[in-house]
Amino acid sequence: MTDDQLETLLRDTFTSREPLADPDVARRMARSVGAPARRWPAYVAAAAAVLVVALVGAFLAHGHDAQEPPVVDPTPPPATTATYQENRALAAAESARVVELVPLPESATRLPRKPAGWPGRGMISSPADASLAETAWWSVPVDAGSLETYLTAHEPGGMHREEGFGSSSDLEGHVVRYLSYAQDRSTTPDAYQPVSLLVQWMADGDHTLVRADTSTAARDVRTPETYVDGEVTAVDIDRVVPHPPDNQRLPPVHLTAPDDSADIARLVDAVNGLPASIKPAFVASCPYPGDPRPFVTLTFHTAAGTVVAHLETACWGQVEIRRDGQPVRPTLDPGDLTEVVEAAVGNR
Amino acid sequence: MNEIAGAPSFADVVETYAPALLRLAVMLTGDQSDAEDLLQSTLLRTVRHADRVADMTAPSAYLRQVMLNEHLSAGRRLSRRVRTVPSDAVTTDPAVPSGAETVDRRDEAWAWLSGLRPQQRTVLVLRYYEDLPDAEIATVLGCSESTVRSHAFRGLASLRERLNPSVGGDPS
Repeated sequence: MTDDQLETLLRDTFTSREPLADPDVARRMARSVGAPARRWPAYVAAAAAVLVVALVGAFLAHGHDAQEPPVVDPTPPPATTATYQENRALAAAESARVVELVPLPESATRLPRKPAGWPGRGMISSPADASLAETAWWSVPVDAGSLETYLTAHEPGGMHREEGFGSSSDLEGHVVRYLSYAQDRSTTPDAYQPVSLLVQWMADGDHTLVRADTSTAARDVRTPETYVDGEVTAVDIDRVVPHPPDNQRLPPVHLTAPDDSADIARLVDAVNGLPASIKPAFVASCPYPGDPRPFVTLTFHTAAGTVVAHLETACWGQVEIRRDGQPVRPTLDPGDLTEVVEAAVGNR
Repeated sequence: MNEIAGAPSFADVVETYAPALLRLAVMLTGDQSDAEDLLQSTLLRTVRHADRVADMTAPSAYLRQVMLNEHLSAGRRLSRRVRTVPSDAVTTDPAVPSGAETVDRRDEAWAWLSGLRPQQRTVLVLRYYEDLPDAEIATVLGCSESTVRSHAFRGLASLRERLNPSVGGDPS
């Protein structure tokens, strides 16, 4: 191929992936970030200033009780009687449900086992609990192109496509196309990791063979000790952020109530809202993250002592909780914790 | 729009440019979820300078620069996301021909892009998706024009090799 042809191919390739960028999603994200920065009309600002002056005046006129520190009082941790085995049972049931969600024409026939001629390929899904994986097979009396068109027009309920169509082939000439889906976050309970669904298909004469695989893992159960509880008077934030060629330790941030109550409450809610890590533990292989290793540490100061949430952000790091210096289990899935911390820190 | 002077607010600016930024993020990361993460971190980074962004006459270049900086930082490449791919579809080295017959060359090119180093992929995205001249790419990436041309030349040679392994080419 000539350079011109390759350049055209690259342009076409990029353009063909534009549908992966949903403009409505982008605008929603922008609105959620942009809203706090919206400027208020002058008359609103003036009214707010008058209100503040009035409140301060009233506060000073009535005096205040200096013995009562301004605090953020988190909601008590939820009482749970769940066990890991129950979570695992829920994950297994969900995995079995999701593997049936593959959108196929009504003419598809379920096959009891792996059909002859299917190349010996598996899947990589890390991290996941292999014992919870489900696999199912179908034969569809349409050609592979028609099936792909059908899949383009249909999606499994409660799931979204992760990437575009992919394909692979082996030395025998078997060409397998595939799509992967992930569960919508909102439909995922704390009991297990969102279920992934990989759908693969291959031409087989005038039929098409279809294989579906799920992957998931059950979560551990949070104990009351892993929650930030009691009255929080302040939070210290310590961070090292990726900053090539050397990672950068940022100046510590100290939030105190009541001035920073809203941000403190957000951080408390963020930590208390995290699900526990999945089981079993897994070994991750990651690129060298640089030095010092990126992390974020939140130290919540309460009347009863300190609760620390520490996350090494590189390489599948999990949130470790320490109470008064002692680690408590289990660790927590970090979710969007670093983003919440960045938002709370803002331009301080 | 701004209620006081009619000038756009920060919220207006980022909402206007967010769709284009998300498209750029998809091209840079190759993945929908990673792209949304990248857009989110870009927006969070820019909100610190909301007033300045709102006052810019051409904020798109600034927003793009922030996104590129975020993308090229080490942390963006360390995804915690679960990835699900067929085991024999994993590309470990884009320079090594797969030997497989391609079904769709755009799929093949997309898969090949996922194996590139971030800086090389960024050069190709800026050159063939954003249509930036080499001089501007060099400026936004903080490298020389010759480095940009080198990345592009080696990239095309590697892609040619991937698509036509029997023809031979630059193995870089």
